[in-house]
Amino acid sequence: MEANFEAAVVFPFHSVEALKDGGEPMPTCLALFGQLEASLHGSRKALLARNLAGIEQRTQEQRALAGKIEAVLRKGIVSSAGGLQEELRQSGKRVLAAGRLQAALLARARLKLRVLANMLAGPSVNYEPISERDGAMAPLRVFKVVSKL
Amino acid sequence: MSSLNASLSTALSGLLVEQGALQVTTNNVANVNTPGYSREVPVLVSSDPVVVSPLTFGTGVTLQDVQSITDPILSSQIQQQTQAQGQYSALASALQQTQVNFTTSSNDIGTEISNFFDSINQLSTDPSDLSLRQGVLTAADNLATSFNTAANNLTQQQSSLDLSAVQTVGQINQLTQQIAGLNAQVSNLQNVGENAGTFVDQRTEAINQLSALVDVSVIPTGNTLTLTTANGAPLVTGQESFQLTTQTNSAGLHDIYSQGNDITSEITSGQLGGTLQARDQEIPSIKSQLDTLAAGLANAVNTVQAGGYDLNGDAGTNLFNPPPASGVGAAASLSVAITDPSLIAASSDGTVGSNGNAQAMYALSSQPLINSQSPSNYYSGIVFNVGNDAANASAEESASSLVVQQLNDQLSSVSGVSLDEEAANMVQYQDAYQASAQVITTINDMMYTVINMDTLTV
Repeated sequence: MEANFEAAVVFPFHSVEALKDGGEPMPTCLALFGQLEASLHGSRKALLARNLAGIEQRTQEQRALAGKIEAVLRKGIVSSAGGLQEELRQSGKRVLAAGRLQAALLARARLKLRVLANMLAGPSVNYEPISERDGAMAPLRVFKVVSKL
Repeated sequence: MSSLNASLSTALSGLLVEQGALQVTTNNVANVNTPGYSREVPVLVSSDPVVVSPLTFGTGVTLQDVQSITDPILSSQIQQQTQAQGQYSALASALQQTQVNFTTSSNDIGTEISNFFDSINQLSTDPSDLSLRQGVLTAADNLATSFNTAANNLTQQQSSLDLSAVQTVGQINQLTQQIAGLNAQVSNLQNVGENAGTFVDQRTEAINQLSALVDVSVIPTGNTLTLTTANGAPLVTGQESFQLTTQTNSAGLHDIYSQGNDITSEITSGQLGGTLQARDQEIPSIKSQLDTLAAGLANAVNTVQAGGYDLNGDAGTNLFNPPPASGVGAAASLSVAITDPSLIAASSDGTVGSNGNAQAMYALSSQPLINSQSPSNYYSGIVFNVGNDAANASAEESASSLVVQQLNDQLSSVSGVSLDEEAANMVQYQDAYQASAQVITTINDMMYTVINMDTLTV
């Protein structure tokens, strides 16, 4: 089911690897958007499955894709075929929606981690309101807490 | 030494208990698809032994309790996420309706702003042309109408949301009454040591339904539960439910009251929280931005009008009726003040051919009139904010829905009925029942032997 879904969201007739520097920017961008969308869906699944390695892997993927998209956009996209432009716009909207959803899920996961961190801290640590603890959690500790989930 | 009758009694206890255990399994299997049902397990304990000095004999088995397998922490998390889901569902639905007012069309505000300034630009090419002057009046009228329509639609939507809030309060009251009744049944059964699992499940299901409507805090109190809103307004205490009421405020909308206190602003979650957020915060904010735009635009146009001369050489008068000084209601009441096209002050010096003032009026289209933005840019900002808020609410709703699904899956792995497990239990109880029956048959044979001992001897 998931494999079919990912295949459907990846741009079906352009492979990014096949497009060299001289490739058309718009199809390249469209292909990258498709990959980014698929990667965000993968992140969502990894987050819900508490698969930390999966989250890390997808995040790296997204960082690399964002860099590629930025590079393509820097070259500038010539508005040519109306259909392709509309497809790019729709693809962008889907990426944005997937990004928003991922952000909302991450916010929930973060809240849960804060609760767990408070629980693990034990009674010797003074309780602090959640907002005060923002950013106060050391990365190593977050990792430890995640691995316990 | 134990008697045959005692052995018979022990075997009988086995029969009865296995029968009871089988009944629990049967009930689990029957409820395999019942939403919110928690599987039950029989708790078997050995009966008190009897001492026949110097020996101690067991007296069989007792079905001490039937326990529901639940996870209170998971249940609590489900309730919290259900509240968020209800809130964002209501908010997303409301904002999606709001968005319709700002969809690009032939007569949306953005298009009418462009049409209005385009008509003025055309007028500047021939300020004496009455048809071009009429074109400006028509465009101004269309612009005013688009503001009126959008503002009135938002007001209507607010009224619909208000009605929805009142209906939700009614649903909340029904559920709290039901939960209070279930609290009574649970308490009555538990006080006499009976299993109240079914009623506890029904109560949990009702609390989940209530969580979708309003923010609820659940506090266990002895055999019952106390329910309050997140800010402490009582909903259920033991066997008593506290009804929420509504009262019309000065704006014609309903405020929510608990025990005589206005708790409207304190309800932040659940469907009611989302509805109130849309009714009292989101829509008023959009209306206020529309008012700012309408008032800013009308005042700026009127000011330029006043600085020019009409076709008769007289000083210009207001093109738009002046909006209220506070700006409140400007979008809903925006209207064109003149009907005579010759009264448009296109001239800057009183001569018929002058277009200086028309150009000045056209220049308003790119000037930072409203919060340092041009009218079109300010309007674009409103459209962006509405779309962004709707998309965020929709994403939050989806996220809550996914988390609720995830938590429900976790809970059903703890509390759900596994048919495989129940089948294994059934075989186990059946075997035990058969074994007890066999013991009874054996004892019966022994009894027969004892009763006929004398005859056999002869």
